[in-house]
Order: sequence, then C-alpha cells, then structure tokens
Amino acid sequence: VIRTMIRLHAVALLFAATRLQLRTLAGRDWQALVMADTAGNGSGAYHAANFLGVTENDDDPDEDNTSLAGEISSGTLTRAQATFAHTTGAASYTLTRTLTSDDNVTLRKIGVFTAVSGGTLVFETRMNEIAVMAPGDQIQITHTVFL
Amino acid sequence: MQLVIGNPAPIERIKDPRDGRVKVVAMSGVRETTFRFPEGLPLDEAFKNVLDAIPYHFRSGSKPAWIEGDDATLVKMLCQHYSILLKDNKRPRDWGHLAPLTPEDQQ
Repeated sequence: VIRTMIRLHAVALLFAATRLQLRTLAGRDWQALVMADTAGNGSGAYHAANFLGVTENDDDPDEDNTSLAGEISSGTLTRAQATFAHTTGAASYTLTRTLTSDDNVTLRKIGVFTAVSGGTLVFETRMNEIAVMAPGDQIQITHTVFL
Repeated sequence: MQLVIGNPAPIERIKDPRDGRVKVVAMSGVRETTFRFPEGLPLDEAFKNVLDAIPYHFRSGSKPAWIEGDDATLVKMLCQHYSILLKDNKRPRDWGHLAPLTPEDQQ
C-alpha cells in the first residue's frame, strides 16, 4: 500500500510539474525570433537558423546527421539566407527562399543551417514535392517550423 | 529590410506530436505578420517570397489589411498586388490592441 501511495504521489508531482510549464504567446514570439530572425544578434554557434540549403539526395532525414548529404555547393542553388516570417502568437514560423536553377537538378530535401557554410544543421526535411528543374527554372520554397 | 503586415485572419500550423499530422488552426483576433529579409535581397525576390509565404500565415481567401515597411517600393508593389489603395494603407490605431481605446484615440 505504501509503495502504491509513493507511486501515486510521484505521478501527481510529475503531473503538477508538467502543468506548471505553460508557454505563453509572447514565449512563442521569443522562440521564433531567437531561432530564425534574420535581424537576430546571435553569432557563431548561437546564430539563428535561417540559411536554407538543398540537395538531390533521397536518403531519409536522420537525427544523427550533422550535414546535408549531397548538398549543392556551387552555382545559384548553394545555401543562402531565407526570408523569415512570423505572426504574433503563432506556434509556427516560415522560412522562404526563391531559387533559380543554373543546372538540370532534381531537388528532394532541404536543410536549415546556422551559417552560410558549415554551421549546425538544425532541420532536415523532405520537400512536399520533388522539384525537377532545368537551367532558368525558378521555384519558391517555404519551410514551416513548428514551435 | 522588413515588413509588418496587418493580418485580419491569422492562422498557425500545429504538428500533432502523436501522429505527426499538421493542423491548420485559425487564430483569434487580428494580428501582425512580420517579414524580415536577408540583407541585399533583390526586391523582386522579396516580393515573391512574401506572396509565397502569405498563405502559411493568412486564412485562405483573406489578404493583408495594411502593409508597413522600410522599403517604400516593396510596400507599393505589395499594395498594388493586394489592391490596397496607398491613401488607405494605414494601420488602424486599435489594430491588435485588446485594451479599450483611450479618449484621445476615439477622437
């Protein structure tokens, strides 16, 4: 009986602690700005993650990855900073980039990084639709990040 | 370069941690959607990026109520696109404010 009571008490404490952590709407805004604002003050390892790279690689995204396999690293499709957008209080934000191809490529995945080269790979995602591009073709990629 | 846009019908996207499904949820009230662009981004790309991102922040069928920004040309291009008359392109004083208006505001 005592053991059961201790267990119930532990569960109650865990439940209380979980309930106490309420993220406010202002907290969402803060998260979005710290994570991705192009006007952010962070530098080095603390730079916002708003650089978007692309790849033809078709491997499943893996949480152990530290680089985007096969990332295109020359020409017009190389990694570049994206446009950040956030609606006050929203639990998501977007990163958008316009890409004009200078080669015949099939884009399958994107990576979101903290720097224009190197940096931390923060998000790796399959594109909703594969983009088959010829030189001169242009696409916009909008990536939603969930908070 | 940045824009702040009056969003009369805001939405947010929420991912259900249990099954990974994405839900589009309407948010209450009117809000502001802020865009911040990389330095040196050409205006035509900034314009296209806004058009592409708007459906992720605005309810389908809605459009910006007003547009403020530090680049007058980009603001003008977007106002033209969304049929906002430049003379009417003003943020209402009570936009997004939950507190009652002051007597000065109401005059």
